[in-house]
Amino acid sequence: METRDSVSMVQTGGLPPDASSDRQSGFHARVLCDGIWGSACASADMDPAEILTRAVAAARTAGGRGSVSLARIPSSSETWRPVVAEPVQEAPASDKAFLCRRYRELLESETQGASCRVAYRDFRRLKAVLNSAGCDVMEEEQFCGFRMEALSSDTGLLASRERAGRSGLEFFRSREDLVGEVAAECSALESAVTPPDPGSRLLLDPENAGVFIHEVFGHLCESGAHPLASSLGGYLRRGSRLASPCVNIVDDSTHFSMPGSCAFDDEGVPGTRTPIVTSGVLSNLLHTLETAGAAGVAPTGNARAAGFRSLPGARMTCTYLAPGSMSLEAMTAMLSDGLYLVGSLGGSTDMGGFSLTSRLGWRIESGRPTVMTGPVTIHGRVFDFLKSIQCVGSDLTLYSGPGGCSSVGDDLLPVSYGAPHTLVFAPGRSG
Amino acid sequence: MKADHILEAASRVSEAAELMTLHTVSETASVSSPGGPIRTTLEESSCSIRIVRNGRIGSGASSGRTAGPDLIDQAIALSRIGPEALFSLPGPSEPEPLDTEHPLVLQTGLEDLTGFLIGVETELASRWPRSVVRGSISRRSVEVSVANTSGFEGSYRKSVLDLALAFTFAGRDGMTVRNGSFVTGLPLTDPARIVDGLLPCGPGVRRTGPPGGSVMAVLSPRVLSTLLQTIRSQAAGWTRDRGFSSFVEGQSLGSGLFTLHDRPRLPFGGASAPFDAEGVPTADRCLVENGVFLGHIHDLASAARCGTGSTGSAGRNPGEMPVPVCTNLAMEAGGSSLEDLLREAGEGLLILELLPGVYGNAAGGDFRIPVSSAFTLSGGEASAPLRTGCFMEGNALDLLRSIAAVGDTLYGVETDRLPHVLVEGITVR
Repeated sequence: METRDSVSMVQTGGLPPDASSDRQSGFHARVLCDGIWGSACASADMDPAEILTRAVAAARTAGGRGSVSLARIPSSSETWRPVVAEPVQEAPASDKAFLCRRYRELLESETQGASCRVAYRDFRRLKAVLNSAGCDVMEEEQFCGFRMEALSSDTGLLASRERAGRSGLEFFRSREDLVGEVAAECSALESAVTPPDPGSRLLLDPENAGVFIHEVFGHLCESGAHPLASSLGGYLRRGSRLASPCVNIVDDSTHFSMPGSCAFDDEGVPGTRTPIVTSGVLSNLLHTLETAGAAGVAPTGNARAAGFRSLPGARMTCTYLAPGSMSLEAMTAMLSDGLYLVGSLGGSTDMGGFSLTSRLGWRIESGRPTVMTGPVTIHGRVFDFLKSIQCVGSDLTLYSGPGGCSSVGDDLLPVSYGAPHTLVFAPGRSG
Repeated sequence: MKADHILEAASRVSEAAELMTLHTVSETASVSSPGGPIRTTLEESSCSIRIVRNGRIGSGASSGRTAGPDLIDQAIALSRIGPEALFSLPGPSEPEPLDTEHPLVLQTGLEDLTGFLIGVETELASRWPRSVVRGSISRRSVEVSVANTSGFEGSYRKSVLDLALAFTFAGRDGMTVRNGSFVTGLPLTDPARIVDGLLPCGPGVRRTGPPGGSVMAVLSPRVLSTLLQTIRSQAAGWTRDRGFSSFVEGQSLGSGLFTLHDRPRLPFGGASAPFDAEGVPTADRCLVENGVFLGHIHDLASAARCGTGSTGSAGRNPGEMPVPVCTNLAMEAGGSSLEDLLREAGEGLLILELLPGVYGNAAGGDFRIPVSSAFTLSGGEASAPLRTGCFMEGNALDLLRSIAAVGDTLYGVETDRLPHVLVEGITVR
């Protein structure tokens, strides 16, 4: 069962913000009859018993026997509520609008001529999961996220910052420092040069490397999404070497301040820390009860649904490249001559190849940044790139934003991602 | 509280109020797990309210067929910070009836949907054992009602099929995924035809690099639909009244062969409706005629700010304010067969699919998009698939201006009806 109260605002120009609020509430019932799933969902004004009856009917439509078997979970009964200073559902809309307007006005005054925009989103989500294995858990989630951006009218380049936390409205207060960062970046981009061919020597900042880990690699490990992934060419078989030995990748839903984390997943399995890659070797995939049952492993607490209308699937929570021991100065010296990629405008993959675009870049010469460039796009083979990571910094930073991550035909889910600075000597042409 | 009671209660605390309710019933078969297809039914209602209070607009939304006073409270709270209301809600009208429920969609049951997905899985497995399909097919029936305190009251039902699939193939040096909202006709397409369409990107095919410089290319209807995103965003009136739109009436947006209509009254169209989300009757209109932009589309608010009238183009998601949106975009077909277009492209490219992600100045039409599926051409035939990691780059408006020939057949892409087109001077690298 889910109830979600949300508020969104977008402040552009001198107009009042575009503001909307919404309350969504409903049930999703899923039943396993003779090894075949059936499910039904409806808004909360319907009788839950009727929804269960529909789910059973959907499962029985097929007839015969299916092959679904679930991993076992211990029974649990618990309620989890966050402690926040200003619960988003209690904070006045006028406070949220004031902050949107104030940050946008500050941004406009510091950027001169740029188109400035501040977007804000919050929600409170209450979910309860009950099942016939004895699970009866409830969790409240507070979410507060925002994005600030300035689009230079001269260059058409975008400076931006976005942040989100499992937090109340206090997360959105006192963010003048980020306004300053966006303004400074917008101003610096005025003199940015066209990026050169990125070549093979790259230093990725924590945000850029974090997006690579999430978008390019992480989705491969959502075993529900790729149920036969372990047999597809043998890529994602436990014990396979996928990356260089300095690479450790973790999905950790116990980072309770970060979006995507959870005390319980949407099947009622406790959230946990799951090592995906350990010293360059695949150690675990991310599982639901069903995929874990099929693989004969323990569930990892990664069953997530975008809302009561959606079926839970194996999805990432807070996924990051674990820190190493190198300092940024030492890595810049190792890079010597190459390109430093900062921030991210997004990435995509067809599972074999990938592309990743930074917000900006710096040319590094003799270990020193010399010239700022516009957005840099790199591409390559996913596993070749992972194997060419030379070293990982000690400065892990986690990121999230007001949007989220979507799967095929599904709505957005809050997620977090991150990494330390990461040095890559990519094979062949990378840009 | 029922809909008419909500509107009545809202009218007591506001100068004007409008209520939109949706009642959705859907049946979905999905493949995403090792245990075979999952069948899901959904029944859901939602109410979205918009009020004018003290001259300012506020909105709220709630799921459920009934809603309590908190729905009106939401709208009152947001009206305190909302924009000034510069328009009046439409009064009573009798929009022309429109066919929005296809009888074959109504006759399609959950077992038909499941059978279709099993057919796709079976067909795929028989051709490529090392492959996976995931996604879903849904039959969705929606009852839409709009009522306001100025006296408009209307409702209609529509039924649509949604199909979203992603295919993953294991190649020798990596996996290739192909996403897409694949098109099925009615009755449901033979699953073999869906799989036939995937053949070129299967494993074991030797790939090649792109030709250097700018070349002629045939763009698939799906690629063309992506490029039309610039038209969708820039033709919307709210971008004009906020200064984001660079489009001006009479401006050249494409070659003389480019004529594009917005068709909210297309019978059985995915985005068709007899009236829009504000109760204004819809009308088909030509957006671009022989390459010339004819004008923006508007909802009530953007029309008022631009000093014109609504074009009946308001769209609204539950929980959001109405905005002007394009519906079913339909380009006029030309006189060339696909074979003609491929022949005219010479040693150029056939570009079939792009990966998600458009990087660049969307307002100005600049793009740099990863190519998912494309072929080099030789003698009017596809010769070799392009290697992964290539990008198509340029400017969408420049490309539309360089349309040299238009295909004679329109294909459904999501809600659009588009042909293949031959363009000059495209860069892929």
